[in-house]
Amino acid sequence: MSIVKIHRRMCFATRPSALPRRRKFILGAAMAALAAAWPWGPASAARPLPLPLDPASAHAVGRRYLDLAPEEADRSHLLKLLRLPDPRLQAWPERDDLLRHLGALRDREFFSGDSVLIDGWVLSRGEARICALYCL
Amino acid sequence: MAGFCPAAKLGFAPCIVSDGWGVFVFKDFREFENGALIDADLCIIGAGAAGISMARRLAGGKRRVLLVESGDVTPDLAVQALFEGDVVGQPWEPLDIGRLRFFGGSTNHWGGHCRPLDPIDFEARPWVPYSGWPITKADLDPYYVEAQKVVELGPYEYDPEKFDDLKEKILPFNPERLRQRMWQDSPPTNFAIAYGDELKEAPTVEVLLNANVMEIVAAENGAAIEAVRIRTLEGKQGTIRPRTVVLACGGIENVRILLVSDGVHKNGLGNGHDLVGRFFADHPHALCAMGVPMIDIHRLDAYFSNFTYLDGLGIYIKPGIPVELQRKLRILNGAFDVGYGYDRASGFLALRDIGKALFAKRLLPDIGAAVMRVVSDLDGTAEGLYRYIRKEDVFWFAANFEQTPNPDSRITLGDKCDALGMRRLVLNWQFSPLDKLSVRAGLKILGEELARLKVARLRIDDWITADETTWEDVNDRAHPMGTTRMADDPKYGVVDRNCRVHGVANLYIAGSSVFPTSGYANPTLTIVALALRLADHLGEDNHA
Repeated sequence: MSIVKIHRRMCFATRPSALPRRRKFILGAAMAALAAAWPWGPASAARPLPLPLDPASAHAVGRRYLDLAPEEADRSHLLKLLRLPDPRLQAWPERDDLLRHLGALRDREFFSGDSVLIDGWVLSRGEARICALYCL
Repeated sequence: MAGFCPAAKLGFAPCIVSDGWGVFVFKDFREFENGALIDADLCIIGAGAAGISMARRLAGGKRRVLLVESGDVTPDLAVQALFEGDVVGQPWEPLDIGRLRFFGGSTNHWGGHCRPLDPIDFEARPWVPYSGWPITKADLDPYYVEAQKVVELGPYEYDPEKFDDLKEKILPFNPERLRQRMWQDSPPTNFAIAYGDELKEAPTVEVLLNANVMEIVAAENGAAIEAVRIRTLEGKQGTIRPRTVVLACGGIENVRILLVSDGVHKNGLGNGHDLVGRFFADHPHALCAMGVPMIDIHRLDAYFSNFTYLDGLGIYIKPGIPVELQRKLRILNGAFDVGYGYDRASGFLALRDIGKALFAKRLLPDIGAAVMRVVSDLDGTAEGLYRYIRKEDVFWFAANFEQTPNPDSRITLGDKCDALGMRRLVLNWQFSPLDKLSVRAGLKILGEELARLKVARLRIDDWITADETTWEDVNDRAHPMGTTRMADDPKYGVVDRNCRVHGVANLYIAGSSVFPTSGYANPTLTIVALALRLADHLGEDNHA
């Protein structure tokens, strides 16, 4: 009985409530896919900003992030923090360059511990800022 | 096959039991005359990992060692029921379940997972109240080396980077943020099976079974122990007259025996500062985060799978918090367990273990039991296989952290009595805010590193961030520790650095109850190391 008991402790129960969140939270491949599909802000040219999440989740994450950091609720300011040009003033990077830049930013932020918890998810601050841009 | 030696030749009737394990010739107190007086140089109370390790160490020396065990060589429900008690506070399994009350003690069912404490576990850390041992890791290292052999482990090396075969299993974490912590797996060594015959043959060691300790009797001035009163379930009584006593009944029962021994010390032996029973700690185990893999979940097995066989040695690796980061963030020491969604079935786990052993061209220890688990859990095995093949699922993290020493987490005597008339215990397991804060901080670091390495994205369970004190679905690991803690100052400890009870010249304590801090490592290896150290200390002539 005891051996089984100990091994049962190594087995973790399924958490069905978490699975729907997982289906909404698609990373990696979704970044490239969404980059081609979603425009960024109604006032922009059709230069997509890759989202780390599906749009509904990105909007929710963005809102939650701006609740935590209301001082960042400004598109120009967020672009500056993301080290991105203002597309109204400068040329917007090509898609591959953009992905590389944001990926490198994300890696640096994780390396240095610059992350935020949004609904329990550990996101880099840049990912949260991208989502914040999406909902402004 | 069983039989008895001629009683006339030996003056008493020894108990010979053989059930395929071996033949032990021990003394059975039930065969003694009522009121028997038994003399011994050293009386060790409790034949578990600590008691047996000490008896073996001292065998053949100058002292006659009497190893006293409440139970027999096989379990008995009536004896086991003597462990019953009440659990209040945080849930802990019933007191008569996790511990075993027969020869070999809890080594009859332990999991075999071994790791020494870390050096920082011995330090007095300003951010961890009541932390600090009066000895250092370096003091214990020579005994850890010997303890490795006792529990049949490999070399005393716990840095996975020192093993070439493990390199592919090591994630390239930023070492300033996470380090790989390694465990070695004992077969697991059943001390009764492994060492019963040896103790039978040992000329200066006698094992006395079915002898329940009712009280350790102090001299009138309270400064020394004069006797140990024992009793069978059937009511036969006797007295041991030892020159020295070692209490080695485990982190819970050590408390009980001290507290009921109140003939001279009215609050119990060693309890002049109301410390006996306090600072109860275990390793709280609770699921705390979900990982969504960014790579093939089967590849994750290479990093996080348990029970990897390396030259016949079971090993597993967990991500842990480096010392420098603990100091910087002022958090506790800890690591994280990893499991997979499809791993919840006992049968599937067993099948996986069999498969891994075969792949490593090794025979799984106790393969019979593993096969039985598969057969008895066919549904679970089938479901686990299905999900494994489909590469489904998320994986889960559970915290494996030490606890903050907490004086309010304690064991006390209750009002109910057992069949011997001895008061039962009440366990009130409590946590501290730093326990949860440390897990939360550790999870954030884990999430950052897993994302940076593009292995997984982490979602931390809501209960972790909800407040400072609530733990959800927490289990214990049956690692009771800290209840007769070690400290040079009797105001902060029950025993001194040599495990001698403060104020009592010839009473010592062995086992996890002397740990001032719990670390995150499973305690058995440290229990054995401390027992060997105590045996060496008692082996010195000036402790007769």
